[in-house]
Amino acid sequence: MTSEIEPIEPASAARLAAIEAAGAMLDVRDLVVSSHSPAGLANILSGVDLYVGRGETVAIVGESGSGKSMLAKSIVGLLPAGVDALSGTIAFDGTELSGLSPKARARYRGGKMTLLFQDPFTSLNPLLHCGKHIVEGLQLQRGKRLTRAAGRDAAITRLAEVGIDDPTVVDRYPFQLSGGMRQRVALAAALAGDPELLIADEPSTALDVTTQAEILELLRRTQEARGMSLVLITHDLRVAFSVCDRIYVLYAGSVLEVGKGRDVQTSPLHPYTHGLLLSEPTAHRRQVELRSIEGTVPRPDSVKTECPFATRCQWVEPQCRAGRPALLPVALDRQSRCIRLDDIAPEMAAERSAFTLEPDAAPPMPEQSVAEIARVIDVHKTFMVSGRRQVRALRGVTLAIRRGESVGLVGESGSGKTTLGRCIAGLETVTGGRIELQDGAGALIAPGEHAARRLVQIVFQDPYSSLDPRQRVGAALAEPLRQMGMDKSTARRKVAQLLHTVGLPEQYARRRPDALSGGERQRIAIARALTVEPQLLVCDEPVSALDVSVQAQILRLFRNLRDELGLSLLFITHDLAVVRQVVDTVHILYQGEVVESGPVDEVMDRPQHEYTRRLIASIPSEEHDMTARPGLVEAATSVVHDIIKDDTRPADLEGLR
Amino acid sequence: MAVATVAEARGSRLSRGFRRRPPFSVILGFVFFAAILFVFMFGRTLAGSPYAQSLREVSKPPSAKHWLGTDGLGRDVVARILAGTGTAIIGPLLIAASGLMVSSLLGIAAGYIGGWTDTIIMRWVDFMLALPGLLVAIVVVSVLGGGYAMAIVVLSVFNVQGDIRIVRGATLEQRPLPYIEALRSLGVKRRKIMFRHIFPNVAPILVANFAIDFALALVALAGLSFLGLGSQPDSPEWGAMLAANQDILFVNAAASLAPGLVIILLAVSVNLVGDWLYDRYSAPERSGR
Repeated sequence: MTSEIEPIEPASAARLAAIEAAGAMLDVRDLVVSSHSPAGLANILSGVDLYVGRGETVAIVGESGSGKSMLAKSIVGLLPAGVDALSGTIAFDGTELSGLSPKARARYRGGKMTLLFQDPFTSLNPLLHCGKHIVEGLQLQRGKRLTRAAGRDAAITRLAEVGIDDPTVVDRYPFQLSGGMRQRVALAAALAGDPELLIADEPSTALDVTTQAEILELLRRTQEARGMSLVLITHDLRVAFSVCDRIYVLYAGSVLEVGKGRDVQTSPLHPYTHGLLLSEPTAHRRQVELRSIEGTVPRPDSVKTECPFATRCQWVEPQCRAGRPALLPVALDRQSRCIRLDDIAPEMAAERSAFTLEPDAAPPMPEQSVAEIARVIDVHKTFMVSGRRQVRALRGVTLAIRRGESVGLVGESGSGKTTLGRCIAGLETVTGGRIELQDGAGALIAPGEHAARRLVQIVFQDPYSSLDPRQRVGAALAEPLRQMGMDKSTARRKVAQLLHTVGLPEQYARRRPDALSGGERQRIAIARALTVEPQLLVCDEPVSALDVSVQAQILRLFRNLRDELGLSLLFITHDLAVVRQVVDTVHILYQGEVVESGPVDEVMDRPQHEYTRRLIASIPSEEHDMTARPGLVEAATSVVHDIIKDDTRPADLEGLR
Repeated sequence: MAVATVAEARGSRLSRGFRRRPPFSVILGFVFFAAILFVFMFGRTLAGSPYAQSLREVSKPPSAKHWLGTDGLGRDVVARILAGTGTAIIGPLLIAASGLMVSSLLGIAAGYIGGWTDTIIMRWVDFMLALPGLLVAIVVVSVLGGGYAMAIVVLSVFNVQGDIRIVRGATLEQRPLPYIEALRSLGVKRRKIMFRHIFPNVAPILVANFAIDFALALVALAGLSFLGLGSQPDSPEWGAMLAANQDILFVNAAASLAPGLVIILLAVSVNLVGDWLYDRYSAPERSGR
């Protein structure tokens, strides 16, 4: 760390003026990308314009299926087989790229433009030392081999640039490093060719929250120090606002809105951006109502001749479906694809101010008198890894869950939160201490016992693997019912009722999982857990695999289940915004121990433990959050320093032995 | 990573579209396999009796009357190849079918139940894999006799171990997935999880195994016949024809080359079709971690 880190501050006027004067780095015009299928061509991007100035940082924000990754891949010329850029131009530094041969395009990659990938766990070759990854980039750029010593020295210098001061890292293998360190190495390797344009595809998504903040800050500073252009691809508006000068909002293969980060944040000019901003659960207060955009992202093909957002827009009119609206300038440096903007802008503004002025939901009142449904008493869990090495996932955890209460278990990867959830659900056995479940009659039951199945059920994170891909929804829901001895027709009625409970029409019983979206699958997974009428639902990161606009739908469902069925919830998550919205009591887990517990508002507004403060500081926060809580900015800054120092945490060090 | 999961799933749904229409080679393979199957079922005597000798037409090259000529005893090569579909289909089919049944039973049991069940099954598999199956078959058939039927039995016994390993591996891949864990936590019985959930999800691998087993058994049985160990010396069997007609290679090359070619084509066709079926029906890629 050479320079002091400044608090996050969106592009200043001077910076923007300088960028404007510097001219274009990348100019994509009317790019159409399609995939080939037996049925013909299917659009992935339908006419995308993207302008990136020299030294500018641009975010491309979109949900899954928006085509944001394909946009990045078409710029660097790495489209997968069967996907082609059909028309449009990609001008890089004044040179038209789309006409070049693959060989000529390859010369740009790793040199003038590079790509930083999402997952540092797979983007580095596990058989090469970290230094080698960087030296490869250096040699590519110089076109000749470096001597061993020179390469090593250069790699050490490059690692220092990304905040790794420890020279021994060059001789380590990627698997010996933590996720944050790996992403730093990957960034150093990407920067080895001294690119003028860096495209970062969800660079922080695979990392822990505290590490995320640090990698984003590093990207921002590197961009500034090198004066290179940066394209940040992300699904997270908060990330985009905290790092980028300008924002492109991509939806179903079309850009719906373009504008400066702050402008888009304060006054979105497209109903989609507006909806996204409102459906993002807030971390700083409990909302009365969780909003969401109903429905799911359509295929770009199915909305070729209408406004792409028409199917989900609350302001849709026949004229929106009459033709594909153009992306038009609507204000200074602002573009929007909404043709009804003039009519609806006041309404959107009113909704937004109502949202900001909305009173916070009353803080949940955990009723002390109510009986407990689960009690975790001094639980230890030790895993044996490859026969010998011991990993202590839980080191003496004690907590209780009351009937009808929603309890949050918060921590980063390796904190043991998932292990504890699995122990309570009976999928793992504890190695020390005990877990007591209490049924309605007051009898004590251990997890894993047959009777416990009627008491506790679990919902998993990944909706794509939590359903049997070969079983229809109806059969999947009926199976546990039949197992309990229910006859066929009763089971069928019950399935319909369960689908209704999770907000899906009865007809979904005939569908197969691959015909469902992520949110719908998660609803089915919840319905399946509800078949045995459990009293406690263990939810292991149930919304973190879902798009922002869908997350809120599922969170609302959880709130309803609790209010209407009186279900107790154990929410395992890393996302503090989720915690704020659905949890009454929160336990913060760090390296297998509970470091802080209490009512959610208490813990989040007045964190006592150092680690809790770190977590809260690392939320990529909206500005008013930051200003509303003096001290947080400083906290964030000091945390970044702290973490860099001890980035290789004990859990990671174990890999070195 | 969460979002990537969604994106990847979408991506694979997309790319799956490409696999839906079979490539030309697969269509060719399918047509050839179907033709052999058709002959096996309806046309084994379409070109006359495979045993009818004509001593006036010994070792004739291909002609309008005998499309592939005649062999050393004046028998029509086409008739014998058509008749040969019987042994060519039945033996490999039995071997592959027994492999499929035994391997799905033991492979899923070893992978899902684990523990002692796994240890016992897999040590037996290791032991059997250490023995050269074809060699054992040669010894057993030449010492004990029994011909074609005995060859099928011995090859079946030695064929299943590889399949068991593969099915066990596939089962281990499914076992930690959330959908299996959800079923476990719902109290669904082990037997049901194994056969109603894991079986259909490893079925694509069973199909691929079936095709490979079929092709290997076809070649192995032909090889045994070539050595005179499989079917009766006189019977129309492709491997035996290949061996017997070597003598007249320079008079009527088709008499020995044609059966050899048919063996190769059938083995390749079955493999192509099996591979394609595997791709077509295997589940879309799921999230990595």
